[in-house]
Amino acid sequence: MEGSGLRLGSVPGAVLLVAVFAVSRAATEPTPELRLPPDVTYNKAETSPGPVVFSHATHVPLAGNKCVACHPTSFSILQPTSRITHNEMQTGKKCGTCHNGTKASGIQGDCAHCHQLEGGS
Amino acid sequence: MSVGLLFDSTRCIGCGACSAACKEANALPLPIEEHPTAYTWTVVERVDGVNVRRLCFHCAQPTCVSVCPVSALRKTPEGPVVYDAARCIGCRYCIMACPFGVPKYQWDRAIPIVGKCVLCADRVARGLPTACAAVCPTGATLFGERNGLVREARRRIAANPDTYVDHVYGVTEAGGTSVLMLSAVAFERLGMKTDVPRRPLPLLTWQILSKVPSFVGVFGALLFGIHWITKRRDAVRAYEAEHRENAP
Repeated sequence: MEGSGLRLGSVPGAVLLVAVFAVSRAATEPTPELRLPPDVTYNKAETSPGPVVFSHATHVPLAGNKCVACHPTSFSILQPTSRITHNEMQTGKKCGTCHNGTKASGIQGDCAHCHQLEGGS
Repeated sequence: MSVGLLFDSTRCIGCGACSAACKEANALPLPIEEHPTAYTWTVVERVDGVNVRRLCFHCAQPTCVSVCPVSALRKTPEGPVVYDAARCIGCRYCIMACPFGVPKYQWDRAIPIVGKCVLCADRVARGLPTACAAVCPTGATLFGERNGLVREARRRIAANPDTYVDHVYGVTEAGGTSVLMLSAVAFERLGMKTDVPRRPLPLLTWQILSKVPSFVGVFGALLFGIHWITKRRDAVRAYEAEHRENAP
């Protein structure tokens, strides 16, 4: 009698305990946050319509959080590339590895897609 | 001061930045292979849903260093176990001796050398962190002073006892290593060796080899003594025989 009473009373308690445990466990589990490198600004060349700002924040998720999608094949990971030319990209190098019109938008036409045009946004 | 790495598998997302940086820092040829080779010194392997790095553990008393007959491998005071290809004669004793199976051979070359993680010894000497730790976006690979890393690892386990296995891999394995690892699942499930001796492996051979000089000395003296006694006994016998003949 006593035993059954105890067991009945402890069921909601046990459920609560499990719930609290699950919540606290989820809260204490370290969730890795990505400390990504800051945006990279490629200064405008003489013939360029404007500087290009590359954002890791927008590209990394698109690459499935795989740094090896671009490093070190297309870009050095230790020494940032300072200059990128359209010629390189047209031969499938640097940004052109993906920005070739099939994997990602091509490099012809919409300049404002990458370049920050003067006087515009 | 001895440095090392702390790899926390619970923080690794398998982005591969460490492998990419390793390739660059050590001028290794691409591609990044699936498992470590003589050309890929570190990889992130996905085992049982866990991302785990493979790299040299940089033992405090490395077996590879102890067996190398030409001292091509060397443990530096800063921590890294470095390799000098110019000295290597290609005997591959290090490959057989390593308890973690780390050194790899360039089997595809006519004149091959051994390849293994050198803990970016040149960067470390310049006061920089290893390339893998420098680029890790989650802090899963942490570079620092080894004692500090051991404390940090124990602090993480104490703060999250439900998350981590209560063991810092590398504190005692093979007598202690410069690279330490934390895991949320049993280390053997990650394909890591848990049966490695807890004492430095070179001790095994040292127990015998250290006694060789004294053994040679004592045994040599003993044999010489026996030789001297036997020789003298013969000489006395010959002398007595000669005198007995001449006496009567």
